[in-house]
Amino acid sequence: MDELSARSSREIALVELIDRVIDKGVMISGDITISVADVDLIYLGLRVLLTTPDKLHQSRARRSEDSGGSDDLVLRVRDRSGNDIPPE
Amino acid sequence: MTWYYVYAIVPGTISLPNDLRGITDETLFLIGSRALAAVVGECSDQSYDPVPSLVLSHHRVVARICEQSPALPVQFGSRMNGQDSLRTALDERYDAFSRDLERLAGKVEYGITVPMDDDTSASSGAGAISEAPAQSGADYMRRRLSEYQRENQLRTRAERIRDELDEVLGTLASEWHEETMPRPGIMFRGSYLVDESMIEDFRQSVDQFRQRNSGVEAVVVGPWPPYSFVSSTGHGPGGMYGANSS
Repeated sequence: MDELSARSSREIALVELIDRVIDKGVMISGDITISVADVDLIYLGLRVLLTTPDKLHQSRARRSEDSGGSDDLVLRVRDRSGNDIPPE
Repeated sequence: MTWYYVYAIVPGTISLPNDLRGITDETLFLIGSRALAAVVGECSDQSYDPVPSLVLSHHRVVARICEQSPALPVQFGSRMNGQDSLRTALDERYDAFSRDLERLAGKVEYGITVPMDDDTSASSGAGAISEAPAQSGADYMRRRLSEYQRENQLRTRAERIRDELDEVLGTLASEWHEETMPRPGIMFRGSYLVDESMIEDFRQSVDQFRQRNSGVEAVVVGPWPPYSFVSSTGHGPGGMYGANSS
């Protein structure tokens, strides 16, 4: 069987992380920031742009221009020996 | 009043890394109540969209905090209006937070996700392209039965994966949540709470699972802060997903 491409693995890993950060963890404020519909949109609309760690440190966090907008982000992927796999 | 964006709940005595800033590059500091504190940064009264870059920034802040202290990760986008309301929130759940900090100290989260492979997603009932309309009632019933059988097969495969993982992981995780078919395209998803001293054993067991199940692709993520194991969201032991704990 073919191995999952590194890109598929990266995308799955990204969804897994984002899901935990926005849906798990302590709910300390009464506001619900994320609606269920938003989470579905994130699953469907995620586009991964891989950039270098340098660019991420320089760029400030900003909102996406529209729901289909892409976001610069960095995801570090490691192989089984713990070595970083650079972005494609 | 000043709004505060909350990153984590920590013991009140910790020091934050000097170079650690928040998701809008804001200065971080502690707001405390008795022996607990929240790690916060000042923010506006605007709520945050969960765009990937911001969410990842939040995670990076939480991960840095967890590197040097027991900490309860707080959900992305959590904001409180004024120090008093923050202190009240800490006081109201003081005992639960304290117990969680003890339970989760020195522990990390791993995730194991098995996507549907091309064969299974092509044959799965969900989203299947319908053929020509059923010609008869019997035809319709045959198709329904066939879909039902396919879904059953998928579920059986997913449960087998879960059982295999449980066998090799054994007692390496003190708590875990496992779901079969949690969302479209995913056959199995597990979250595991692992003590830092067991990380190497955990990794080796996952490798063992891979060797025994070469046809199964598993995406392993972590070590992460224990987002899925705080008890204050109902996702912990006895929570929504029927989690197990030893």
